[in-house]
Amino acid sequence: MNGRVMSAIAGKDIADAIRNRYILFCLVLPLGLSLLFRVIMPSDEDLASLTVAILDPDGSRLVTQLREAEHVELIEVTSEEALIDALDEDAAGGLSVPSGFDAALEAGGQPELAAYINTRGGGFETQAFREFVERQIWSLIDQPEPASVRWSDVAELRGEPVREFDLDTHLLVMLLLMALAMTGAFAVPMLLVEEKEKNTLEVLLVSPARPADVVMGKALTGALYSVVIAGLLVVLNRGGWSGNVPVTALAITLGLLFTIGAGLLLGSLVRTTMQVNTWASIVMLLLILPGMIPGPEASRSLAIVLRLIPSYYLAESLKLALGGHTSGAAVWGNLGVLAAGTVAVFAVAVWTLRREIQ
Amino acid sequence: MSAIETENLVRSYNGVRAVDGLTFAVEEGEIFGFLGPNGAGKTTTIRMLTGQIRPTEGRAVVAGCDVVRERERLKPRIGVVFEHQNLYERLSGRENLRFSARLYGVPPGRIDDVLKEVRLEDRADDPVRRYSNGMKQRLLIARALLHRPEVLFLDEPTRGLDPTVAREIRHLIAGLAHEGATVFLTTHYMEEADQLSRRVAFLDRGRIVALDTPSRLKVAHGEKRLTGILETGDKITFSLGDPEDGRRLGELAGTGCIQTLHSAEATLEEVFIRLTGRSLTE
Repeated sequence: MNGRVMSAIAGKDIADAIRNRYILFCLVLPLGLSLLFRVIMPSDEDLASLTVAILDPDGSRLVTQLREAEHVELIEVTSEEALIDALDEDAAGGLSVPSGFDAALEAGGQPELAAYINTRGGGFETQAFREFVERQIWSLIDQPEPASVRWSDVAELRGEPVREFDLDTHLLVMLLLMALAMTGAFAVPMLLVEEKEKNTLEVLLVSPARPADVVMGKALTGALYSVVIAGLLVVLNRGGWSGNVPVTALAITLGLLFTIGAGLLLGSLVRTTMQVNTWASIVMLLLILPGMIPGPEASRSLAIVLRLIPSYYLAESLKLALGGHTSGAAVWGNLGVLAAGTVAVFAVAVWTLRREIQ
Repeated sequence: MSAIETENLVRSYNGVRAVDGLTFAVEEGEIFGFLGPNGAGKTTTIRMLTGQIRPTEGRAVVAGCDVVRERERLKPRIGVVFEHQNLYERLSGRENLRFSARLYGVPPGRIDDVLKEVRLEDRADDPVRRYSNGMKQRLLIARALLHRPEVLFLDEPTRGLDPTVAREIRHLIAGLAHEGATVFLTTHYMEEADQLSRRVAFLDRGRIVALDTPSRLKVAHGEKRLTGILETGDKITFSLGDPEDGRRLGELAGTGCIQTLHSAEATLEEVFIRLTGRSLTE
């Protein structure tokens, strides 16, 4: 392969891609959606009223101050059972303040506060409850990090399986999948097929460019746009970063390689931009699907289907990495499956492209 | 020395010979016209000579490189103007040339030179999609010339252009020949080939049926005759090999009743029909 030729092709495609209105739309859409979610996502101030169930046997100073908070309606209960009942009704979340909470604070200890999320209330309300707890409770106490919060799903209280859900992470994962799929599985085959359709591929093939240079030029263009858009999405959605940067970067890198491989394969199989529009839509939908359906919400049969889509492992890797969970078999297992899928799709793409171009 | 040499060049598709045993040579600095109707094998020949497809049989050497074994060495030595106007239409003319310059490792300063050569410097920064057909054709020629190729292949360079633009393009090609470029020109416009080429080859059903200078072909295959117009407006023809016609011509010339007299050599089109039994436009 010739570096000068590859960079020339990538440079041309980078300039050409953003002048193609279909490609430009695909590049900008995830960023636009991200901004839209930022705008429409309700914060605690945006909610007319956030209902929170409180179990506070000692009548702590914390709850006294919470009663004065605006837009928050407290349901004060006296037992764990009543807390569960309140969460079963319409409370977005519950707080269980342990006995001796104030005394422990005054002694300089770090008492544990149990916060229960009611995922039945829907993603927006859950998120508002999380933000409410994270941003306001500790400022009311006026003491830096006075206590630790143990987050759990209300299902834990009910004795049901716990289903973790974080709307911020879910949206970010969905947008990242969308960005990678649109860049890799749409923009890349579009750039490749345009060369065939407009007969510019024959110009390249009588120039010093070899078929591998042409393919790598397209892949570089896709990779560059993927990195830029994924980076912007992460910045837009994670002002206060809480995940593991290297593992998130590794997952995004494997994801973009996989989607670019899928795009090259698609580009080798079709001949017209119209065909790219049709087939890429199906491929993109499949690739984005695992990011659209939160794991806990999927039925058993749907979960089995999702596991057949390689981007499921990208979505799972990203959820774990963005949540800071980067040790153990789960994250590396997901990344391993994704890496194997990437190698496989690239191998098939290279084989079909070689046949196609020669 | 030959810029292009072929020996029994064959290309078959599913057992059908699109090009059937071509043997010819093109000298350096020559414009070589490769003429034939659609489907005669012109583009297939160009595709073999430029290394895009492999010959089924035979061999070809272009600019000193074997088109199969030395394909990569051949690429920077040739320039190709394809039959289609295959440009990046969203990019400007200058951006198209800048891309080619980077592919071939040509200094960027050369871009302005070729833009000037094809008279596109004023519109160089406009997107190509806003160019007329003639401007696109000039840009295609500029792109092919950018890296100063030893051999230039022009595949139907005036097809679909209006007569004024076609004349402009022919003028440009004639200028290249003046500068010593070797040009392999395929066309089915006989007048164009006659005007530009030092030698022409007639291709019919994949085979060369004649190869010579246009004037020799016309003399060899045309009728030797003179046509005169008399005072009365009548037209009269004299066969040059006929003693009787020679005597009549002398008599009439003596009386002064012949107003104009000119040779009536055959056109290349007529020669082609005579050789193949069909027209170039079939």
